[in-house]
Amino acid sequence: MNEVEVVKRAKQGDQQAFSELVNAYSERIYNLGLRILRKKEDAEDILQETFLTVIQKIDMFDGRSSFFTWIYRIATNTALMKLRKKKPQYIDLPDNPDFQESIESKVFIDWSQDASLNVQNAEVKKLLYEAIDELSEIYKTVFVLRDIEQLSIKETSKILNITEENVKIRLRRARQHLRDKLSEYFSERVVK
Amino acid sequence: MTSLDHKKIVEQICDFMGEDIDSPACQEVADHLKMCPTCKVYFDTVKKTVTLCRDMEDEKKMPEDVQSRLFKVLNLDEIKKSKK
Repeated sequence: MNEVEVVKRAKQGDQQAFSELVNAYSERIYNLGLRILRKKEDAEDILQETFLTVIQKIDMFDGRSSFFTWIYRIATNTALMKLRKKKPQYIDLPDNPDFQESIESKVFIDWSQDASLNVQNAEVKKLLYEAIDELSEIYKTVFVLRDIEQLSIKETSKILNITEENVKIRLRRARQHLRDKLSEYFSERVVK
Repeated sequence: MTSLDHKKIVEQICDFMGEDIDSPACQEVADHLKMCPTCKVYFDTVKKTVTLCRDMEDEKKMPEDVQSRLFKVLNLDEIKKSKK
């Protein structure tokens, strides 16, 4: 698919072109919604709202960013609006987290090679899902886009309209939080 | 190794794990990890955390009926049918 050409046709109202864009992006948008909201119904809502917005606003797409960045930005914003309505309880990650304290007090146990830490372990899975959901939206979106969707730092910064430095800072804090949760889990198991 | 060095390294591990792998800063981190067990454990456990999160988010297939409903909502279902 020559995306630039397809987008051009879609801007002229070509339904076949819209159909091609839906086929190209629907699965990724659905997965993005699922990863941010966690519920299938919410992911479907985000998918539909995203493409309705694309149809309504495709005239405003000026090609300065890639179509991928543009549609991902719409999808992420749609997901965030839905997330805010749910008013989840976030854990407070301080603005200046003291990494020194963490690395010096907790890091000495190396659980990275522990065979029980895998995604078949329901307890680990539950713990990680809960820890991801504790991240406030600014951390969660960066973590999902960069570490789960595996977008680049540059792409993530463009989609979220924040600086690359900001992406790195948020990513660092999100990873730190999740790692600490696994560390706690592992330490408790050792004590038992 | 001072705690300030640890802090700096921890901050740079983010870049090291993601991008700019050839940058001088990343090379500095790589060299440091070879010598510092503390930071190496930190790096390995962060990496494992990210891998676990990625693995559990894998293999999410969008159900076909979701796609069909999307085409319907967008009034594109006739095009989809005609392509079959």
